[in-house]
Amino acid sequence: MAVWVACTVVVLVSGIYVLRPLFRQSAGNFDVDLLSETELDRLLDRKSVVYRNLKDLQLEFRMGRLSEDDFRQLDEGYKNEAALILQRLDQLDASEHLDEMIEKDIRAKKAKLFGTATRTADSSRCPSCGAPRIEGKKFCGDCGQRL
Amino acid sequence: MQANNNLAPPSDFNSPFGKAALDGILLKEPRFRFRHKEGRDSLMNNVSAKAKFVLGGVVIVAALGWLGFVGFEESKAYYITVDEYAALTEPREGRVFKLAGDVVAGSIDRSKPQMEFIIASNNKEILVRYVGKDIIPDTFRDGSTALVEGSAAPDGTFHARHIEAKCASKYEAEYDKRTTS
Amino acid sequence: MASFGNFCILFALCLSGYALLAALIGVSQRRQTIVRSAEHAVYAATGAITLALFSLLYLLLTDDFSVSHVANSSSRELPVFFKIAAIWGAHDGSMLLWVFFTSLFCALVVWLNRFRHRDMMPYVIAVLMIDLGFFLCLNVFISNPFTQLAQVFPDGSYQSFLPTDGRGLNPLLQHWAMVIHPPVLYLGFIGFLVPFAFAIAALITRQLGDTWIRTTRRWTLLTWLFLGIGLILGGKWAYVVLGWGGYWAWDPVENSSLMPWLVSTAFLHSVIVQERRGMLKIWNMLLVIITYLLGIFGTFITRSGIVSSVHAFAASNLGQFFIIYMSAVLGVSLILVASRLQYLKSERRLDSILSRESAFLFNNLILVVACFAILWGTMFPVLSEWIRDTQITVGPPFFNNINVPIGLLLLLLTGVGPLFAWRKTSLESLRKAFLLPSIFAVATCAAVLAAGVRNFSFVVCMTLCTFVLVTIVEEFYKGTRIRMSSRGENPLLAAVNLTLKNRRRYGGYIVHLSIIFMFVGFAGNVFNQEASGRLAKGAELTIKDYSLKMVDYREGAGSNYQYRRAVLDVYKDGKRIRTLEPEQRMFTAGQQQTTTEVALHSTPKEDLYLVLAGVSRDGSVDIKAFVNPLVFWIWFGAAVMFFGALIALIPEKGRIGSTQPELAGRQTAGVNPGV
Repeated sequence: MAVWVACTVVVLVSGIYVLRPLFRQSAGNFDVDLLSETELDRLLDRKSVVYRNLKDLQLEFRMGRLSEDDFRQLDEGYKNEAALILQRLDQLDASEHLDEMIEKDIRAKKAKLFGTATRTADSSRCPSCGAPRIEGKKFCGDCGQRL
Repeated sequence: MQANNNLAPPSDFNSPFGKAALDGILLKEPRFRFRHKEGRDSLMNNVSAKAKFVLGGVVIVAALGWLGFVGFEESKAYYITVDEYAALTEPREGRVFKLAGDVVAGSIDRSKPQMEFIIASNNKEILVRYVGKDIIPDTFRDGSTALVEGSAAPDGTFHARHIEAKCASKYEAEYDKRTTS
Repeated sequence: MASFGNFCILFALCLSGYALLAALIGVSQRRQTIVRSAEHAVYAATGAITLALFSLLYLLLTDDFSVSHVANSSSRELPVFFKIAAIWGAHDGSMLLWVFFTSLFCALVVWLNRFRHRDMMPYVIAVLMIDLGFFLCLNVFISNPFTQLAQVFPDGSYQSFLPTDGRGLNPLLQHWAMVIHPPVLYLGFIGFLVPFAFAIAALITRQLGDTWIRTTRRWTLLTWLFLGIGLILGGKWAYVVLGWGGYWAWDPVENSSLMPWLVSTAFLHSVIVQERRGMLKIWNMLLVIITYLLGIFGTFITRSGIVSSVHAFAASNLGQFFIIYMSAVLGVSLILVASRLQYLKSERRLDSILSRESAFLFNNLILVVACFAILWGTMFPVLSEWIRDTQITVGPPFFNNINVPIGLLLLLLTGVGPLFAWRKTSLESLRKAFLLPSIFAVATCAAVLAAGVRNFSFVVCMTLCTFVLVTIVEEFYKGTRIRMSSRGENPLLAAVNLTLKNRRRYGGYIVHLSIIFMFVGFAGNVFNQEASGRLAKGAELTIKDYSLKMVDYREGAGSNYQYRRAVLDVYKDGKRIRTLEPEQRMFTAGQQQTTTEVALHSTPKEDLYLVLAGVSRDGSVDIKAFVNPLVFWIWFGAAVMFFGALIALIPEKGRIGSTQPELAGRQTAGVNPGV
């Protein structure tokens, strides 16, 4: 008898918990592509990789692992890559119209999806992913969203 | 939604902002030309790094393969049961066998300088003399399943250099589910 | 309680099925709410499995022997600690523990990514749930730990059956290392599910950039660490419990946990190449898939009993299910990879053979070859039976012949790799970098030879160990010097900060350091000595410079066993250093098995290892003694490895791009696309 009660309780509790999201009144659609890995993400990823490479290269050069010549060649290559990435980011930056729209769109959809309209207005959090925002950062450290 | 119409799907690789565009930039990185002090083109300098890697890899794999083959020849053993061994028609000399069978209860004779015992399977038995040095495992006792590795001796016994033993099931005892004890 | 537990795993199976469906429907209809529901189902399944695990624990603690698992792996007099361990003391329970860990990993992954990778997560959930569902199916339908014992009558009816006592936990498992070894090893196997799930999701969504790699890298490292520690604990257990004087025997079960470890080691290295250079994308994808499959394969080997092994865990009838599952996973993954080849193109080529990339490539090649050789040797009995109808087994010489040179080559690469720069290294800078390590290495080589050692592998191993050690010390020294001069920190602070600011790099070096220690320990094997003798009271046995004097023989009883114990005084160079008491234990419950309690005198230089092999009627004892040099360094190395991997695991704060290196003035002006 006790077993039946326990089983029923387990089923009820988890059933409610599992099915509840389905009955949220804001059962809006969402565009998967919107939240996927964007060029911005890729650029920022790439940027961090290039920066890390540069940092490493400089460390290795100062350790005497590289000849002056090798260092200059590699350094040049990485810096060019970094510069190109930054240029690209600036281009994206410049197309503010696009930017604004993306942000607006994301905000609207987020609000719809999670019912978290209040949080998006919260300036201490990233509007896209909700991660805590670090002061003075241009982009969210978690998802790369422009803040 | 109007906003959507103006948005290029960002994850589309063909879009102007897609990955292809980024690759186009990144691939422009210069290739190194080697400037050796000597400046002379030796044969290897003309070979691409990839080819060198493949060459090195083949040499390594071949060497390891050869070592493996030697070790394989040295340590291969034919794993058969005692009755299969008894029924063997080919000559047994010069081959290493690993015989599987049950230790006949009461047959373990530790009084001799070299321990002797009988293992059996399917009513075929063979006398085994243990000539190895390793400690006989704790699990080796009357009735346990034993694996003896060694070769046939001229006197018809089996000289085992190595013994492994296992209980019918080491981690589980014999209560069968849904049966009586 | 048994039926409640049974219900819980069945319900968890339903939940995982629901989560799978909901995730797929959610993503195909692009409805976030359905995906959320799937996520909740994952949590709920985890909860249900946790409840099941607690029910089993309750059954074990209350000695409910009507349940077959309890009857088979526990007994009344078993200490509580081992009653808990009895969960994984037999096959059925260990499958439940496996499922429990899997579900924990799933829930953790879902929770950590609840705001991230929204497009990938439904597929990740789907893959996780397929794996969880598969193992739950096995748990529910084939090896159910809540099965109750029953008496079957000839007419087919049955009635429940309650034995008065259980068979007891296998005595070999009643040891601390064996208690934590299986769970740690399970974590090590199961964790590879996460990188695999992300890899598949990345393939499906075509998002094959750095994102999935960054997300899964840390998971892989953590899992790799668990697996490594699990392996070492297993070795430690074999060393002190099995009593044959060694820690590794190339047993199929040992091999099957070493294989995924080797491939994941390869992945941890090659992933750096992908991150830095955008190369090896297909290769990394394959490594992740292979690692996951090898994890499953390891369970398959252990559980199916397909390859005979001294471990001989509960051979069960799971084999065919594993084969079907593994083939399906392999087939689908390969088709996915093949259909996404265009997205996995390498961004760059190998510039030079003298580059860090190439060192990594060789490292990968060798690790994978090692894995393949071990797989070959392990499966050879099965293969030869298929092909020639005779089972041919291969022994340690095969494995050693291949793996000793492989180990030495890897050691060489460990030292050489960091000396190369990315892309290319000129010969001058190489000459400079090689100078100091080579001098030390040659000196060591000369010293070892002068000491009269003529064993080739030992000499090479020591030489290489010195080489690697010097390169690592140099890395730390130079880095510290730079920090000291640029930041004015004191040496200690500089060294600590250096490590903490470059966690992956210097954590990695610490792991390399631990590898050196372990290799020193492995190399000691060459000089193992053994002696044995039958000792009456007062008699002596001499081994190397030790002499063992038999002082006493005792019998007595422990908590659930009886023991026979020899007391021996150990003299070294005529001086008494300590008393050792090797022991035999006869466990009273269940199978009345005898186990060996090894007596160890361990020093960094060598272990004196005593086994009580037997007792004769007149009270004299058979003692087997081993002197195993340098074994201590293996366990020490494991501790260092743990520490190093922990450092590499701690997340570095923020995106690395936020601390911009010296790039000023280049941001726009320096663009020169023509180069």
